[in-house]
Amino acid sequence: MTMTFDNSKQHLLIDKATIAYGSQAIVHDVSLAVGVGEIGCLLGPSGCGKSTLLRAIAGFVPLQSGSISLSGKTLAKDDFCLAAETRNVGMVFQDVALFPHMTITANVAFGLQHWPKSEQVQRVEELLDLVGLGGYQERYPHALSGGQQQRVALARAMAPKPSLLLLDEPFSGLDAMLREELVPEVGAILRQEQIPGLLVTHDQTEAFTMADHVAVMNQGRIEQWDTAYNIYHKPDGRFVADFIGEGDFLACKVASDTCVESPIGHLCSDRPHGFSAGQQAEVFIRPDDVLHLDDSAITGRIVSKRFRGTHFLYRVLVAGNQTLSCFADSHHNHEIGEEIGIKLSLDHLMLF
Amino acid sequence: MLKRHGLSVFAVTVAALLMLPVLVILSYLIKADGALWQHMFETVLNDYLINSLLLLLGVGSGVLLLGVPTAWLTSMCDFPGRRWLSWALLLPLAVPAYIIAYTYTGLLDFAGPVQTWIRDITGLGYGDYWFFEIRSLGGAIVMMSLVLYPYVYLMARAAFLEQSVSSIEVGCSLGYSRWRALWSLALPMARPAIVAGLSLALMETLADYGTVQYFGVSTFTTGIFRTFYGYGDTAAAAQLAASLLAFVILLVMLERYSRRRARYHSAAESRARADLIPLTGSKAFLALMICLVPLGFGFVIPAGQLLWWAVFEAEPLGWEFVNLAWNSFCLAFLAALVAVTLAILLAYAQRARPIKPVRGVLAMSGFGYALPGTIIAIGVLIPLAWIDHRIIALFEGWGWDSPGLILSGSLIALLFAYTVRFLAVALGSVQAGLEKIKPSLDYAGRSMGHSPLAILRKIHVPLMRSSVLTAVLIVFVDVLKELPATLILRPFNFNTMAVRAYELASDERLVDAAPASIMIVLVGLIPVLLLHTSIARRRPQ
Repeated sequence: MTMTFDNSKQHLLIDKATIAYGSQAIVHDVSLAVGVGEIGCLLGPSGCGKSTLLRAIAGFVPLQSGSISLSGKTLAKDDFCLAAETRNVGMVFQDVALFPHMTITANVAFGLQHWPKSEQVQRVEELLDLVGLGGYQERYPHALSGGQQQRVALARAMAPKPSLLLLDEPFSGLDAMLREELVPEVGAILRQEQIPGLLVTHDQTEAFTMADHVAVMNQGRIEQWDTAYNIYHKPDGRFVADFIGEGDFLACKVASDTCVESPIGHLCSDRPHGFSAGQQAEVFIRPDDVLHLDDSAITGRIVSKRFRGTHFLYRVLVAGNQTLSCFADSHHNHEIGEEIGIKLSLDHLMLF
Repeated sequence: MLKRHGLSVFAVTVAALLMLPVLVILSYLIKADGALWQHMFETVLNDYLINSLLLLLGVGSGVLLLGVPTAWLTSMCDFPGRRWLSWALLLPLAVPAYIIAYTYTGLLDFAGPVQTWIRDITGLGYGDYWFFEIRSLGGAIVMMSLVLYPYVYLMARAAFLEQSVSSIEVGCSLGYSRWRALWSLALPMARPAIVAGLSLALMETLADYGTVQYFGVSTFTTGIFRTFYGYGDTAAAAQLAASLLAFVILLVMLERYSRRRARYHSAAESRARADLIPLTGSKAFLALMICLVPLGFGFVIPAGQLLWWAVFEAEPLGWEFVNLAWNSFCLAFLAALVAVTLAILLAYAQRARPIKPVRGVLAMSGFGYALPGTIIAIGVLIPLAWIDHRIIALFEGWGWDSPGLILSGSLIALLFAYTVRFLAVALGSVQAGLEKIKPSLDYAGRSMGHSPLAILRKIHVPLMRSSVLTAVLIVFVDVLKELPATLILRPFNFNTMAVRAYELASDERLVDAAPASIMIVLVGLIPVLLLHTSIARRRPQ
């Protein structure tokens, strides 16, 4: 896909970047822009090239072609590659990478070597307070819990006031509870410090919670670069629709600019879907588009169910051989094999 | 290209150079001289082969008998003394086989204190009674078993400690008694580790020269020496070395295979103290005795005797001893410096570009440690002497004075041989240290504005310091104990403590050999204690 950006408003600008190890290209022709004060996210399955792209921005991997620039300064272009230590790009690593032989203070102050001593002390204190670890100054990394270590790593990366902060799956080593707590917190800290960030993750909840814009990557290419809302509701292609959230593809026939004929009836959208009448297509239906109503005219037989606490997720068989997922209220406990009424609530159609 | 691959090219070159002695010896296996073989086969080869095989068989049984039960008791059972015994059982590792052989000879021969005491209380005279002849094949087997069993003990114990508790519990849940579950599950699971330890002990057995020479047992190593010095026949010595090499290669393959399987078997969850089987009363006493026997005979008695001789009976130490110690320490330190420096460069070459050729040569250079000193010495001597004679011919061709044997006749040959043999030890320690410095630490440092050189200074040096020091120390001690290669390659009139102890023992001046011997044992204790602390750290609290 091609994208054009208004360069003047952009902070990080990646233009047609290609990265290869030997003859094997890991990232193909990727373009991307993160605006001033924004947090972007590279989201994709493992092996999609997201971490490699991040490492190229940090300066650990050279570009084969294309360019990367930050606030108008070229970081890498074709065979030019600015050394990592001169880029002023901070990075938080998946494996934390705290220096085991240094105290928390020494770790956080590691990037402040050119600052006057008194300012170093002040900045370290300020950051440790910010990440909620005031009073841990003289401890060593091994004496901290996983979540605390990751907070120190964040403080360390932010200390030199980088013009961009890269986060390489920083939460993947933490348990679910801690992640829930830390992800929005880190987002808030970045915004408070006004440091633009780029997060790499394979977890869409993390991406949606933290990022203003999300790039869904697959096999070295960006499939879609958009807001979280649009990625979920207006996926650009089958891969994105399938990778993000849950849903089912239903074969259908296009009836008009806004409507299709499907096995579960005539479905209409409030805006044109871009296909012409008579075409064969598939409509993508998410479980939150399928409501359970006891007195609905359309019914489906439950083939499996999962209780998720706040709601049920039923798999229902409709129109003979189509299976759909359906969210139902937490109190609507039905048995497998039961016929239940469902109602489609689509305000737009996702057609492929 | 060269700039990017410089370190890799360097690593491959160094490793190839270190492989040279082995390749030289191997070449004799291929271009074997038929008539020479025929002659050796008819005269000595049978003897060497049978004695070496009997020695392997005997020491193999001996180290299993001493190593496995002690490892099992100290890791699976709880009895008084278990804690200190678990490290004290490593102590015999500090005593080189030739030194324990000298000590027991002094203790047990006709004029020694044991036989004198027997005669005193029984009134018997010379020839009236039978006494165990220590200077025999059997004696050599006992001596080597006593100091080599810690290899088996160490590996078996580590395997027992790492075995998952749940596998034993599964056995119990299936109706096995605790003892039976331990016997039929724990022991087979530890087998690969035990075999790995056994093959290490057998490699040392094959490498031994001092003990078999002193006891008059004809094996490959003594044969190599005799052929080399007695008949001055380098080619025949090299061919014998090549036959010995074939044995060593088999053992190395066995060891590597077992190690791979040992890793496969190890489990994450380890044993808590509560899982130990408590022993009381006579059972506890028996366990204590089983552990005290190898410790007593392998360390306490010989070290005590040596100390007694050194302090009360040997000639007072003079300048000669100071000179000897100085020579030994300087040589060992120099060798350690060379080996560790190369190890650091090789380890970084692999870390910078983990490409196949570099990984391959690094794996090959580990082979040197398995090689007997005699093989390395002959393999070093042949190419260096060849170069020396080319240099001499060149000088004489120009009408200059002969420079002498500048490579093969100097410390260079010795240092080269030590590096071949001990690089693997240094490399192991350095690599273990470097593994702890994950690449993301480098990246983190650089993303905060530090140059690669600053990262080396601020992150790598402090984190690597202890493993580099360990490497230096281990090579230092190994060189200090080394005997056969030093004997062959030392420059004229250059003596070390090990060589001096050997010479004095050969002159039947066992008591006077004691000061040098006890010094070697004491220094040898350092890596043993290091080994213990590194295991203790791994053990659950």
